[in-house]
Parts: sequence; structure tokens; C-alpha cells
Amino acid sequence: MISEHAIRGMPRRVFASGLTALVAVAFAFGPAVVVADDDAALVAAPRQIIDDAASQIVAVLARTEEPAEQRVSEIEEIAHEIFDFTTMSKLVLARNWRTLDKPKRAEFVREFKTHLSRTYGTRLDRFDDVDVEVYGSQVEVRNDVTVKTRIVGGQFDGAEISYRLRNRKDAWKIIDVVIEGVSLVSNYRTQFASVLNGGTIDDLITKLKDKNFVVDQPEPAKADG
Amino acid sequence: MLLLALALVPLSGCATRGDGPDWSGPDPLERANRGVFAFNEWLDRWLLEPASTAWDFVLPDVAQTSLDDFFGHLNMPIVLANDVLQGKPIAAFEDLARITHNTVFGFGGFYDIATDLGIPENDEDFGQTLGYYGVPPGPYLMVPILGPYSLRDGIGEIIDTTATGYLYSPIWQSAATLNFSTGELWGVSIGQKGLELLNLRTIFDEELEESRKDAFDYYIFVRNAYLQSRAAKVADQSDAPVVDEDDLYFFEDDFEEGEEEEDYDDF
Repeated sequence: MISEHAIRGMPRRVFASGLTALVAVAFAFGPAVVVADDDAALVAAPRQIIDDAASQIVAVLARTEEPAEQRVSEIEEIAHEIFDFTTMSKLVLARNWRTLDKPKRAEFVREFKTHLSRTYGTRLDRFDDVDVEVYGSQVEVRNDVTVKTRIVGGQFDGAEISYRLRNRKDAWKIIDVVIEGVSLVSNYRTQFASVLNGGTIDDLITKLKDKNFVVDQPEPAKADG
Repeated sequence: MLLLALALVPLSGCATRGDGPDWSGPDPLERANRGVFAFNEWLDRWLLEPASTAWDFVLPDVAQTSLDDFFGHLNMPIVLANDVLQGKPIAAFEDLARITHNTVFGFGGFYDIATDLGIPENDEDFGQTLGYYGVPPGPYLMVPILGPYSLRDGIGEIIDTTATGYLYSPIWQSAATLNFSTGELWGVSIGQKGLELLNLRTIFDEELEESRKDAFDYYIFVRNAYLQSRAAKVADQSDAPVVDEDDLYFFEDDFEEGEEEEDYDDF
């Protein structure tokens, strides 16, 4: 049993979260928020990225006559373009990242990326008739940018989801998804810290692989990856 | 023995930079909390989940949503009171409008017409009011049956629930007119709350199952999400986490030069 606060307040956002599902429906109704001129230039690009990805994904979602597996893998492709999985992996592992050699880092990033895709990419049905409105954006410290969206309609009507983007190597990519104030990165970081507290990075990677394997099971035709 | 065990649990408020859990609040009772959590999980698996399945079978989805709207409606006087206690007049007017519209045009609260009309819904409770005036969350508590609370928000919930049961609930009032004894009235209250939670659990059954399955440490998942969500609500800030930004997003400044150029997901 879990309290009303817990259900009403938090996991529903976290559940609703995720890579595909949320990017999935980020739908722009055009820029609605007036920002200061300096900031306007900076937020324009990241905001455009969320807008574009969103409308592409919404277009894929709308093709309900096609098999879910195919649509999922198309959405994964779009998501893979706009998430910075290396930075996200660093952020979720925090200081543990430094202890890894390069092959281990690559292995972790690969498994974490697969985990996010598989975990959140397969839940399209709940977002059939949902729109997302981009209602704002703001510049954060050191020129990260937050793009703010809100779900309109469906089971998660009114839920607020923000994307934090960072410009690295001249490309804006998502480094965190924040659902009603709960950060995806922080949620994974605390859990991974707990696993690493009682085990090694190999244990964590094994756990990731196990989960990825299980999540893969229901899909007979494995999506390209 | 218990005290000894507690003393061995490190306070999580003093973690080093980049260490992770320190923003999710102190959890000095982690060991005991994990025990209660395991019990709650057991209870959920063997009692509440089957009950939810049955409830889902009996009641159509539309009726579940309607019932959830109704329980939300019953809670609105509490929200309104806490708007006022926090000196938020606009929110108070919105919530007053919400109550009247849903009472009059929303079939006594069973249909949430206020949302259709674009009246914002505010989420306030006494725990948030305490937080608003600077009371820290205090230790994290996993309560049997009821789930996660901070000490502050648990106290807030007791005050809110008591106020709801005694003063506002039509269910309570109609039971009182039937000359129920105090004990029976409490039974009605507990039954009402139980029904509310069962209905809510039914609505989010799938999500609950998935988050449990996906989690690497479900206890930590719940704690982190709960505490962050509560902090965000106290701050009325849902677009960014209430955390130490430097720690969450920039700890890699500690890395050696040039490392930020690396990429590991080109495959």
C-alpha cells in the first residue's frame, strides 16, 4: 500500500515519465511565453528541438493502424537523436563514473540507453489522444535551458514535464526530464548509488542487462538498436 | 537493540559532492523504514492488488475517475483553508470557484467541470503550509499501510484528515444524522479513506506495477520521488527539481580536462 500522497503526488508523474512517452507527446502550440531578448536567442534552438521532435513523434503515434513495435522503434530513433546519453550516464553515476575505464563506460552507457528506451518506449497506448503544450522555456545557470511542457488530455491531463537541455559539441540535447518537480536523473542516481553502495559497477550493469532482457521478452521481433 | 541498529545507519544528510542521495532528505530510520516497506509491499501483493483487480472489474473506468473527482472535491475545503493559511488569495479564489462550480454544475462533485472551464486546481495541504513557513520535512517515515511520509507531512496529514472527517465530509455528516456512535463514525471515516485509496490504487494499478518492476531499488525510488515531489509542492515549483543544481547537473566539473568531449553512445 502506498499513501495517497505517494500515488497522487509522485509516482504517477514518474510513471508517466520517460523518454519516449513524454518526448513522445511534447506537442507545440507555438511559443506562448515572452522572454527577455538575451534569453530569447538562447532558448530558441532547444525549444525548436523539443517542438520538432514532438511533432515527429505525434505523427508516428497517430499512425495507429501500424504495429506498435514498428512505431516504438521509430520513436526510439527520434529519442536517440535528442538525448545525450553520455552526459545522462555521467550524471546518474556521479562520482562513480570516474572509477570506470573507457570500455566499462561505453558498456554502461549502452545498457542505460537501452534501459531508458525499453522501459519507457513501449507504453504508447496511454498517450493515444494526448497533446502536449510547450508553455515556456528558461535559461538555467551556465546556459543550460529548460523547456517546459504540459500534457493536455488523457489520464495525465495537466501533468507538467520539463526537459533540461545542454549544448555540447554544438548540439542541444536533453540531459534530464523533470516530471512535476521530480528529476529522472536524480531518481536514477539515488537508486544507482544504493546499488553501488552494496555492490560493484559490474553488479549494476548486470542488473541493467537483466532488466533489459526481461523488457525485451514481450517483443518477438527485437527492435534495431 | 533497535537504537543500536539506528545508530549504525549513517545519516544521509552529509554525503559528499556528487554522492547522490543527500538532497532527497534525511532518512535516519532507513533500516526500520525498509522493514515497514517490505511489509507494505507484502500487504499490497496479497490484499490490495487483488482488491484493486476486483474493484476494476466491478467499476467502469469512467466511474473510477468520477469517484476520484468526488474525493478530490471533498478535500477541497482543506485545500482552500491552506491557501488562506499561506496567504495565497488568488489560489483561494480559484479553489472557491472550483468548489462552487463542481458542487452546483458538477453533480455535487462527481464531475470535475471546473477543469473543463479552465479553473486551475491548486494542491495544498497542512504539511505544505508548515513547509511554507519554514518547517523542514524532518525524518522520512514509512508508515504501515499508509506509505511514505516526512514527519512534517505526516503531522500535516493527521491535522487535515481530522479536520476533513469532523467538519466537512458529507459522508460523515450523513452518518452523524443517523445517530452513529463515535466509534462507528470513525469506522465510516476510515472506510471512506480506504475506498478513496483503493479507487486511486486501481486507477494507477498499471503504473504501480511498472514502476515496481523497473526500479533498481524500489524503496529508494519511492523515497526520492516522494521527497522531491513534496519539496516541489512546497515551493510551488513543478518545472525544476528542488535540488542542489551544482551537485545534480555540474558535478562533472571535477573531471579532468577534455573529458567532456567524450561520447559513448555512438553505436
